Amino acid sequence: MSLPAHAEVVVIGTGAGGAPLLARLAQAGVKVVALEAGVRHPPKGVATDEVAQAGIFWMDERLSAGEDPVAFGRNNSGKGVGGSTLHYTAYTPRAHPDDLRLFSEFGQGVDWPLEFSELEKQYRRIEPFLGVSGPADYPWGPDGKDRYRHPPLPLNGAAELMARGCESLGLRTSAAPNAALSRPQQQEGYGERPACTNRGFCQAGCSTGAKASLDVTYLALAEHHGALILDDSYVTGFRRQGDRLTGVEYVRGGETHVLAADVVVLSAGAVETPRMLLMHGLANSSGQVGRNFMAHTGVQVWGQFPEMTRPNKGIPGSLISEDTHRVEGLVGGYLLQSIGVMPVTYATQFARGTGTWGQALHDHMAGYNHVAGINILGDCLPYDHNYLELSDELDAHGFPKPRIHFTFGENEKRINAHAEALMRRIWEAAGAQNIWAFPRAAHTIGTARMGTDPASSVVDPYGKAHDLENLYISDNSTFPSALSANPALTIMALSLRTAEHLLEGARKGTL
Amino acid sequence: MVIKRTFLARHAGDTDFIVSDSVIHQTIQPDVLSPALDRLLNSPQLTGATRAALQARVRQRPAAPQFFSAAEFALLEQVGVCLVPHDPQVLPLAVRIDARLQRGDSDGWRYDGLPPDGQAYRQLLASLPADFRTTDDAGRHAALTQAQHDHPQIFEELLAELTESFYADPRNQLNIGYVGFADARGWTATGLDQLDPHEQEALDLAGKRP
Repeated sequence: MSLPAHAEVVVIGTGAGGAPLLARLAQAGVKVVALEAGVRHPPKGVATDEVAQAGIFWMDERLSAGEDPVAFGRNNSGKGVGGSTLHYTAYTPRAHPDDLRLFSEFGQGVDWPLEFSELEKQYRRIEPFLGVSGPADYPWGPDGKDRYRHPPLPLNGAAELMARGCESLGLRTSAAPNAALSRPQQQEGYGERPACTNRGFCQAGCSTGAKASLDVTYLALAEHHGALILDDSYVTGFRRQGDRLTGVEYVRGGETHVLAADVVVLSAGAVETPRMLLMHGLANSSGQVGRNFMAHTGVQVWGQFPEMTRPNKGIPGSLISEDTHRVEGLVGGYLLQSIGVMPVTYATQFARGTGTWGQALHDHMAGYNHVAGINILGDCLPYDHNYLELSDELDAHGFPKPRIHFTFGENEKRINAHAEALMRRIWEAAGAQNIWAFPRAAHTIGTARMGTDPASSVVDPYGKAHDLENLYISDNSTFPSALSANPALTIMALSLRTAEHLLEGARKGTL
Repeated sequence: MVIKRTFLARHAGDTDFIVSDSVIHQTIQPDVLSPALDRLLNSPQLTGATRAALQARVRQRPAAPQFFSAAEFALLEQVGVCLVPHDPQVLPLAVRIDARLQRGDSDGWRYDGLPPDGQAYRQLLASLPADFRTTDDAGRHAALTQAQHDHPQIFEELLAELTESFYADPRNQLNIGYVGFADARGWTATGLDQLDPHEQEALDLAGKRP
């Protein structure tokens, strides 16, 4: 394969931040090239096996510091054509309008420098394109009627139990929106994606294409329209002249190459994006690169039930409640989701979370088919004490490993405590025994905040770096606050918004 | 942790349900996969990708250590058997750890205060009493309880690595009633108290009850 010497736009990373933009620009006839550190993982090669699927995760070691050290790897960090959408559960709730105005509402955190309607416009495009399955009338937030193209996926055992527990506590529940197909769908550039077979291994990769990972959706569309995706291409440097980047240096097949580019889009996620900026001295006149690292409050509560749940079956997050979107005494709020679980994930979480070992571990695992969980996804405020920095320890590429400091603040502790108590009550009401909680944080957010003031933010509201004329960031790094919703859908919305901004600039000749 | 025996009772009727090391020895021969599991793994109930992954794993055999010294390895193996009871002749969990460290692979992160994984594991092993290998079960249990208290993060990492490796084995998965690797056709019965017909077929092939 002969490698290109020049791209009008080069996109680094092919996950939720890079892929929609790549597709939109390719559709408009822009010569785009994507550099992806991982390789392709076509559905046919995906095993229903957690260990065999380790290749879809970013396993380069990161150092987790602070009082609540964040687990990376399988917990939140993807690698491969499609990025973290290869392992996401495809849970796609929208953010709420008030998620973007935490400071206005509570005097804490920051407001987003854009209107909710700008996200909403993109949500409406993205959801049918991905083929989100969900309820006919979504109970929370604006515009809930007829939002989803496909009816909801079937409820699994955990969802039935959570519905039972919530009902007795007077909490509303709904089938969740999931970007996995309840009916087949034609996908431009890919072909027919089949309906989900309820295999339940979304977090280890989808073996059928029913899940809307971005390889079978936006990236297929991008390639159909002429985008070039170079996998196994690890970015090692940038070329720069004055306030413009002129190219990207990367290693592919053991050799170093340089791709000249008019515009560079960094979509490597909220750890690798700031790490690259710090390593290569880019876009940091504000000193804000790596700051404001956030991770969703994500405590899980597990129980065992007299009924058989067989928790590996069905879409993992099949039921949702957002009745806790606002709770007295909390800044922001959280959503509740039922969770199914794969056996190795459950076993290792149980071992880590409870410290149980020996025969007692096997005794507990004997009840695997009776396990069900509930999880929250709650907001997280930015703090000075949570940040990413470069350590002195080098990785296999010879680059410094990132060190990520994370300690929950008072508000996150209150969210987790409120949620854990509520979930314990839900499980008790549903008939659970052996209830235990697994404290955790989910997703990587912040580290290259968007804002209008170059002194306190890294990129402008369209993702353009304040310091450079042609560097854009399109991923969860730019989120000013964490949102009380899973990030993938909103990352995609921002990605399309940045793409339209670039096209607008190209039309006006200002790019 | 209080274990509710009612859950166990649903499965314990299986003759080869894991309740102790001795049971493992009775039912899984080191060199031969049970014909029933072999039949299931070779059946069209599995996709090619899943079959390839599992067959490679169940056929893995004990091997000499490369990363650890012979003495360290023997200690690691014994600690592993205590933390996650298994027969190392059948499930070479310590060999997998040794090989992983030799390759320099990571699970993507480590606690900032800890040295690299191999060094951390060595530190944990070195902290055990000198008579760990020769003392009785109670002595080993006490020593490991102390180690968990003194080195909570390293202990957690080792326990998690052993647990992952143990429960990734289809023999152990079948023994907890899981048959999700029979993945070729997916499931239609996903609700509460529902056994999918394809799960039933797979369990039948493997000679298991649901």
